[in-house]
Amino acid sequence: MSPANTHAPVRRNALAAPLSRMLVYLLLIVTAIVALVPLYVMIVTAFKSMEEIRSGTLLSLPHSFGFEHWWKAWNSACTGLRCEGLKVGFVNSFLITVPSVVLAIAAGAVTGYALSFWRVRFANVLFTAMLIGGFFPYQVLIYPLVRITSTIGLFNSLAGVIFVHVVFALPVVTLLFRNYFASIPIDLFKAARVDGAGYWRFFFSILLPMSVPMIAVAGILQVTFIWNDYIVGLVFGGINYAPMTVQLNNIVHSTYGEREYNVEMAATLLTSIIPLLVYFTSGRWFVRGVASGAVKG
Amino acid sequence: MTGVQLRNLGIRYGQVEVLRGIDLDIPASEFIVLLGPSGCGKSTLLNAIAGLQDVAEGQILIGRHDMTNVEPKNRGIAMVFQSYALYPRMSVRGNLSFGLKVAKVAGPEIEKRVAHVAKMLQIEPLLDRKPSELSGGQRQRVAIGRAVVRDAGVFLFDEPLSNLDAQLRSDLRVEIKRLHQRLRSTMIYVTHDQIEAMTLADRIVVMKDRIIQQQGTPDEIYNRPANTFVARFVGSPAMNFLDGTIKGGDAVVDGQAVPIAAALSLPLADGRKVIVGIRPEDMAIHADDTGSGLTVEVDVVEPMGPEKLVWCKRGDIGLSVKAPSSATVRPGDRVQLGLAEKKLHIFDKETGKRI
Repeated sequence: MSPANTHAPVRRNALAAPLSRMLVYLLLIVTAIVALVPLYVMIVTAFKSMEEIRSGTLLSLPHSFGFEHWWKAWNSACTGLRCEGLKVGFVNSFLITVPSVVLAIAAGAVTGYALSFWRVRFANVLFTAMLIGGFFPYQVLIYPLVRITSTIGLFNSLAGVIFVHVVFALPVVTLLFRNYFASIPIDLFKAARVDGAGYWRFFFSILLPMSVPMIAVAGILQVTFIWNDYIVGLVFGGINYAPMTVQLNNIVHSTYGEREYNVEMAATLLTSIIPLLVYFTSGRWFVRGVASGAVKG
Repeated sequence: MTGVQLRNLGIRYGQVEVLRGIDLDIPASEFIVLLGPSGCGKSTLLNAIAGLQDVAEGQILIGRHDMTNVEPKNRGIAMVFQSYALYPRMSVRGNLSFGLKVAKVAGPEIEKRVAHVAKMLQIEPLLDRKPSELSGGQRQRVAIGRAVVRDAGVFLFDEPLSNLDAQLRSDLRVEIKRLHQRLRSTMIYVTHDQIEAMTLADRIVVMKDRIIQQQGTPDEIYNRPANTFVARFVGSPAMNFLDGTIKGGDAVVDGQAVPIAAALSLPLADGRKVIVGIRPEDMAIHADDTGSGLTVEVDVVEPMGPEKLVWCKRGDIGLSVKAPSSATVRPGDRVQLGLAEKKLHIFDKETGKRI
């Protein structure tokens, strides 16, 4: 750009800055407060003693930091009749999330690959059917899926929960990968075929190494989605494989005597810690993955 | 040494016919260029030879073997693409050796061949870089190296220079020609650039509308174009065309008789409609009004350095003429164009075919 072109807009911005900037900042600050106040209340309440909570100072900082509520939420809070705390649910959520995410990404990537690089018969029909399935609200599909999983003997089992999660994840993960692969020049595929690479060789040696951003995006989406899931875990996991979210709900809703707000708040924070960690550590990847469509390797 | 034969090849996308009745015999070691406008099917034809495109009918023979339904890797071919198509996550070395690894060539042998090719193409310092760290010219050099390392009998080039800027394009063009002289492999090269075709080819195949329009040496294509399409497509600026009617052995163009007998083996009957073609360099500008040529008005003068390109007009007819740089014509001048009679190309008005 020539200097003449750059100067004019800069000067105009400099003049317009104070008022419009202040308005923008004001709006951002208000939005941030609205979004963060509940989180703040949760955090401070989790550290307060019940006495202090009862005094009604919702927004004040705790007088003393007590970790015993956190410990109780993790180890001994009662969910229904059992009083083993959230740790059982944490383990269950872990056992559900990791295989579900890995399987969903593997299946989605391979399906997206087949749909975009190989001339599969009726590929468009298959893909459309998959998307229609994906856009159905899944509450509608719960009952048929209960019938299916119980028929094949997966109901009330860890495998059943994972199966249902993979089924629900497949359309969106396939869509992500298919669109990502569609942006990869077909010449690359041709070059690899001339070089002798077959179906799996091209996928593993060339495509997968290029797909790290997309794998990260799909991973973030699915980890948070599956970790935060309530209904699938509740319906298909049974008592033994209830995920953390289900246990949290049981803790909050099954109280005898006084409600222990501090324990409940601590339990809620503990449950949300994994998705929060995922967002904080992989936000960079997420942005890169979303933007990667515009960047040609 | 491997030749390639195409027999009555036809290719369809669904119901759409892309290529029809292609017969082509490419002797071993020949550099053949498939030339044509975009959409003429030349790249499709190249993909079919590579085995990347299904064939509806006909046969492809490579080295006398029927390869029509053989996998690309088993055809003994190597290919270079317009978009380079380097594997982005592999180093240059990885790119060069990938095909050999897939073919399970022994490690030391791979190293030897990669080193040899890297030296030949002067890409040794780049071996450990990623494609994203290379310039366009370096990338295409690596892509050519990836083809050479396969030690194939037939090289397929799909517009390899079209993504490069003018300077690099002519550098790499020379390099490809040198490579051919050195390897003596059969090379099939697709381009829409007639300069590349003229400079590189032993033989040019001009394609349009699903079929081959003409095949021949660059000299034949340039000096004896089979029809008006070939005549217009090859040569820059393009050949000039004048509509004429035969009268007494001459062609009457816009009321003025142009002698054409020297360009024909047999005289044509009076009244026949023809197109008279003449290349810009086959005309001379005479300032004096001798009345022996075509009278035109100078429209625009483009100095090109070694010569001047003079755009003339006569009514609706536009003509481009190459003149020496010493020529002193100005826009608005009325001049005479002397047409070299032997260099005229006479085409039938109806069919566009050379007479």
